Amino acid sequence: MNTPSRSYSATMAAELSDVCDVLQKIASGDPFVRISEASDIEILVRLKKQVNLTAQNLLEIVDLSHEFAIGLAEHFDVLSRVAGGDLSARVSGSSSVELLESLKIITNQMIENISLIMAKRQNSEEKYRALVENMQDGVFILQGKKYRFVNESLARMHGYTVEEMLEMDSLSLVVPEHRELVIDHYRKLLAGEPVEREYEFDVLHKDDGIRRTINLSMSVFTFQGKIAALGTVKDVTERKNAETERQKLEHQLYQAQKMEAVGTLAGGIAHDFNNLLMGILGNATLARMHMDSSHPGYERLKNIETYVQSGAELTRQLLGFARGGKFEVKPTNPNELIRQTSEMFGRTKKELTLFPNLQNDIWMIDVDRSQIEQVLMNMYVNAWQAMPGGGSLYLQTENVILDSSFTTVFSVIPGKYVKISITDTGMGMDENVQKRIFEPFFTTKEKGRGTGLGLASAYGIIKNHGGFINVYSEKSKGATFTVYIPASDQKAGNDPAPALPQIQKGSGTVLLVDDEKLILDIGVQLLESLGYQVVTASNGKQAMEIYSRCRQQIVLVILDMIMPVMGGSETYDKLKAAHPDVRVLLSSGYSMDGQAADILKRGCNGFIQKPFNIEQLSRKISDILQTHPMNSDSPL
Amino acid sequence: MAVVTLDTIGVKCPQPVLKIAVIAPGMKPGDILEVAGDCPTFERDIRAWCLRLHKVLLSVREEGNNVKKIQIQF
Repeated sequence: MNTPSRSYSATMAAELSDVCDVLQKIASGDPFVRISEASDIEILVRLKKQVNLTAQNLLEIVDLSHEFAIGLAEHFDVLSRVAGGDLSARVSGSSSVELLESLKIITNQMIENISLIMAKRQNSEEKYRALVENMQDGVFILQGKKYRFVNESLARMHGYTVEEMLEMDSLSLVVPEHRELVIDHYRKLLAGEPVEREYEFDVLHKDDGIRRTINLSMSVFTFQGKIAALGTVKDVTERKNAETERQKLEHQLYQAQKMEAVGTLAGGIAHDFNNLLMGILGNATLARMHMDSSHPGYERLKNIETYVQSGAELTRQLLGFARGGKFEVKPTNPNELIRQTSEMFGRTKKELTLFPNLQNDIWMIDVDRSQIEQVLMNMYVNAWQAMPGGGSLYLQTENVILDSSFTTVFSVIPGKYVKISITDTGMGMDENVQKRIFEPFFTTKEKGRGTGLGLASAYGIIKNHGGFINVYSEKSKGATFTVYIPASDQKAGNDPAPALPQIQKGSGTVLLVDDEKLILDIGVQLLESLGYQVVTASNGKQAMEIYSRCRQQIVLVILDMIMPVMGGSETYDKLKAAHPDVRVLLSSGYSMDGQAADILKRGCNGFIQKPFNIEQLSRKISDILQTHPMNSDSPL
Repeated sequence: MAVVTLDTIGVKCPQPVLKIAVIAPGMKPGDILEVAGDCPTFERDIRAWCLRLHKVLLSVREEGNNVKKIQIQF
């Protein structure tokens, strides 16, 4: 057995000490340390190899753990940034560890998905915001009395900021007198009771004294787990004001139309009445002129003349009179109404031929006479306007009994009715026009010629009398308006009869033109008493013939305005064209406006309104003859 | 600009890096983190972390006893 030498032992000890140092470093976590494996002692060589192998293995484990740590740190960093809202963060580092690579893919994919969801949400939110914040209507969410959300428009509507409104009691914005209404509506809505989806009320603006009218539409929904109301608000103040203005305008137009009809009526009455007064005045004057002033009847005749003047004043007032809308129902004979209104209308519209066909023993009707006259006048005017070149107007009255199968359609009671038919031979209407004919403001006339209220008001008046109006028409075949008014059991009352009010002589022949025999008779006598010779014509055509024949003798033409065959206006123009130096005094029962004023503008010498007395007539004639002397050299 | 210190002396790698990772989200751009450590792989790990997370390694200072102080700018 060999005993180890001292040098062997020393070498062993020294090299083992080296191994110990290396192991100590490995134990402290240093995976990079290595030891020289060279040794004369085989066991030490093997030991050192094992030590180096251990260090190498440790290095690999350390590298792996560090790889994990760095990878984990990067993921932690990226996720922290994402959590903080930075959706651009991505895991970018590569790793030899398969698990980390997979984790990187999943993490980045997750962030991509979050980014997409967030982008969609943001897009949706932007759209919602743009919609809610830029819409004209106010939008709010209300819980209890508090707003949970209001948009800018709503805040602006009330004059507050959004922040101020979120702090307010919503009811404080409502005007005190509408608060009960709003509370009741809100309570019913939340309770699920039937309630109008939209309604209107007044709210207060922040600035004192300014009230706005709003239209509110609300529905119930759940907001943050609690019941709430979602509302939209429209400021309808302008619309409301416009509506009020329109109603006012409608009323004004209705009034204007009514006034127009009454004016036509009054004008007709005044014309007739003035002609009558003319007769009375003329006769009274003539009788007085042939009487000594000491005669007992002289003063009475003077009184008659004064009363006639008062009567003439009354007709002047009548022309400017507009009825106040008082509803005076009296038993009235419809035939009488038709006769009076149509005669009056026919007198002013000579181009129409009227054909009345009125039933004998016609039933009475309980009506406001003036209103039915207005209805009839409106219908005559419509018929006249439908026949611009003239035509025929058929007026018919008839007693009829209507049963429920007929009256139900028109919502009236079955029974006895008086049927009034007005048929024209005008241009007619198509179905579409017929459907709308009674609508207020519907008109087929050119602007300025019709308000569209005539038939609408006629419809309303007849409806108010418990009757109805029907229309039948075909294009180019005229139209028939049929008015049904309930018959009355009463007899007609009697309307009271109307109450009645220095001479310059001349010579020469006066041509007196008038279609009224009464006027011609009295005119001749008045003129003759003034020293004139008189020739008469009952229309314009005749006047033209006489003047052409006797122009050398005729010093003046007294011309009536409204006449058949050829009216005053046309006669004047033709006379003037043929005989430029003709002297013409216009005479009319109408006041001096419209046609008369136009003729005067065209060079007519004067105007005298009927009734006139002998003094007025003598002065007028004398004035004209003096201021417009005849040209004796005239070739005509 | 804040300077934050972190002592990882006696803590074996890779724990210093994991500690830095936890602190990092609270650091603002421009802030400086000064980390002290004595693990043999400390510097190597910090360098790798800076490289991966795009942070600036400002300095590495030997403090003796295997201790190093590393400054990182965020």
